[in-house]
Amino acid sequence: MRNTASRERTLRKRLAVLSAALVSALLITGCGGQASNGTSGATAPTTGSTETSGGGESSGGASGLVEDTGQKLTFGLVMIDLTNQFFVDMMEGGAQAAEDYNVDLIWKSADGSVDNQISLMENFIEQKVDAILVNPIESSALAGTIEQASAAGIPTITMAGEVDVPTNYTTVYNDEHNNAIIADILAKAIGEEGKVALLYGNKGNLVSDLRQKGFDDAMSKYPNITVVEQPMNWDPPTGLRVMQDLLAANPDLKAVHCVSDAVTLAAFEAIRAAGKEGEIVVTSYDGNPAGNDAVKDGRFLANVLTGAKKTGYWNVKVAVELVLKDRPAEHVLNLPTHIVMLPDEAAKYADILTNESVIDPDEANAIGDSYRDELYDPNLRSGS
Amino acid sequence: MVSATSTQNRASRLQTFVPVITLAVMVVLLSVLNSAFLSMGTLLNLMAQVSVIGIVALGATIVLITAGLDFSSGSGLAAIGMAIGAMFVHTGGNGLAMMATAVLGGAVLGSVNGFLVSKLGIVPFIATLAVMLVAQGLSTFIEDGGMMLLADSPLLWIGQGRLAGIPVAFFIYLGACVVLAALLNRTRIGTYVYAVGGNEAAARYSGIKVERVKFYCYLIAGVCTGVAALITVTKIGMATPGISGSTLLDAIAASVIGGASLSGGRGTVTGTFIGVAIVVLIGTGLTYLSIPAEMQDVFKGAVILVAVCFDQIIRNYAKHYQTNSLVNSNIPQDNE
Repeated sequence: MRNTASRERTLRKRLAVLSAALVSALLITGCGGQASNGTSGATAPTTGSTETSGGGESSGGASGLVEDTGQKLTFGLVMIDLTNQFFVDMMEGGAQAAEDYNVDLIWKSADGSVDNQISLMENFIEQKVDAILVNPIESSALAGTIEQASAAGIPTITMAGEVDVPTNYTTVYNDEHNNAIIADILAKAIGEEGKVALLYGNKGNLVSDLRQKGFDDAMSKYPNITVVEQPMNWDPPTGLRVMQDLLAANPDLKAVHCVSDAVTLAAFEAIRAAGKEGEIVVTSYDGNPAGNDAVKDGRFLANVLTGAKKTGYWNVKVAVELVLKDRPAEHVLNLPTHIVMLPDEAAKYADILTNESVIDPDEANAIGDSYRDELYDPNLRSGS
Repeated sequence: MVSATSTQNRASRLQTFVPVITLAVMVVLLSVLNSAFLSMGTLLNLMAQVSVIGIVALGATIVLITAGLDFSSGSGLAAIGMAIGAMFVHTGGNGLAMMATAVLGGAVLGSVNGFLVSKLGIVPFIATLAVMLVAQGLSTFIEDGGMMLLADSPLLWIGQGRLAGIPVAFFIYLGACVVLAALLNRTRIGTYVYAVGGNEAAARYSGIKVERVKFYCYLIAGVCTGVAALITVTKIGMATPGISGSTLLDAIAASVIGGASLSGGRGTVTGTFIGVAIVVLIGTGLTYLSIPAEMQDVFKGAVILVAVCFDQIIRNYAKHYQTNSLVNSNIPQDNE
């Protein structure tokens, strides 16, 4: 008996060693695979190398820029996570830009951790990528790493989060302002009194915090409006559950704003199930096709088209420009956004919307799909 | 010996009652603090909300009883959800194909876990953690991780429909409870499951095919995950990669609150059922009391701690008496 037991124990030990070896082998090949990916991309001349006229022209100008030899560029992208719908769409737009401008993109998820973001960026500096794009979780925490990248001659872009390093570029669309506009619309829609719910992402997430701040600050102007808030963690089932609870706990709820289309659509199922469709005013954010359709058929009063795919495309394109062309003096670059409303509805809120770009849902869907037509610059660089 | 057994019985009975008492206290407190809480609407909401976590928790419980652990249920749910969505898109909304995808996807997930843990003997923690990562990657790989609306699918009835006013999903959950309770309490396999978790070596020596039992447990957990995925996507009317949320941890928490032990051998369907209600009520209750949702995790953690501490105290107490009585009755101790 003891023999069997001890044999089993050694077997177990061997298995443990084997699995440890397997894991480390996987890790090593994983990293190695990536590194070689990057280098092969940088050394192998691509088919597009004979027709680099556009890039060639521009590279003559500024000093300190990479001369465009037509080789594939490699960008490292450090995202907050890669499962959220917004980031998934961003990747799709980014991939299109990568194809248009002959770039290799290495997407990395920081899984919501600041620490991970720093080490992923350090890895990219080590790999000598041509540019690093990061979606900061905590902007101030990245300053040191961004300085390191600058010292190594790698341009950096922080997406939706300003980092106080002179060489850094920040790409934003004005989340805070847009959500303030939405808040004003909602306030007017309910006669500036009553209970309003806000479904935000989660505290400490930059995108969510900006959207929440814009909404809350604007709502604080209305003394007769109470705001009840719940996080939906960016996932639709949580949004649905939270909405059910909010509806049950606040029978007098008049309006809901939720800061991400996929979740708003799920939350709307709760409103429908409670028989309050049409009774509660709903607004959303992102401008996904499904969200714009909801504006079209009246489920949502308004949406905001930031365009995740467009954002992805735009950021990669900006990075190509930073690497190959004159760098602009302005270090905060703005992506234009649009309020999505039916024209009849928009007319009722004209006083709030005077300085805004307002488009109807069909237009929004057309723009959302045709972001490439809007942004593509054939003279920048030829594709792969 | 007699006294030890009765002490143990008393202890285990006490363990069963703790979750019940916790739940009762919560319900009473919430009713007192917010009069809107005690209503049919709240009950129906709860029924709709416990279903997904509940079904995943049943799977988690049966795996926990074998002293195992399944980390793959969260991202597995997301991956299977995406597969169901892809099936909807590519078959023109064929309901049968979607249901088959849910169950078979779950079975594949469970089989992989079961194979790694029982046949290869990899520690469940590592094996299912790796599978979790694979599933997470798959969920964003399928259809490029895009959002798929399940517009007008007849299957939406599963997640959104009602039977006699009660959410359909809740009936599925109840059905799963009954089947699993019957399996655990009324069949030989059920006895084997507890035996394997209680003392694997002893189970092996008494001729139980330990590997096979474990494999089935992971298989069942996988199928539970598949069914939960189907309910989730039909409830929200769409498939996206981010649908798992905190399901995994909630399910394990619910099992543990309900009396399942990470060291195996213990756990019941009834306990888990109550544990699930407690976990869901923590979230709901805070909304009713207008307590910031960020406190939700604090409360959840506190309840788990209380449950686990209490569990440990009772076990120490029972062991103490058992050892004493063993010494007193002078039974020769058999060490291997």
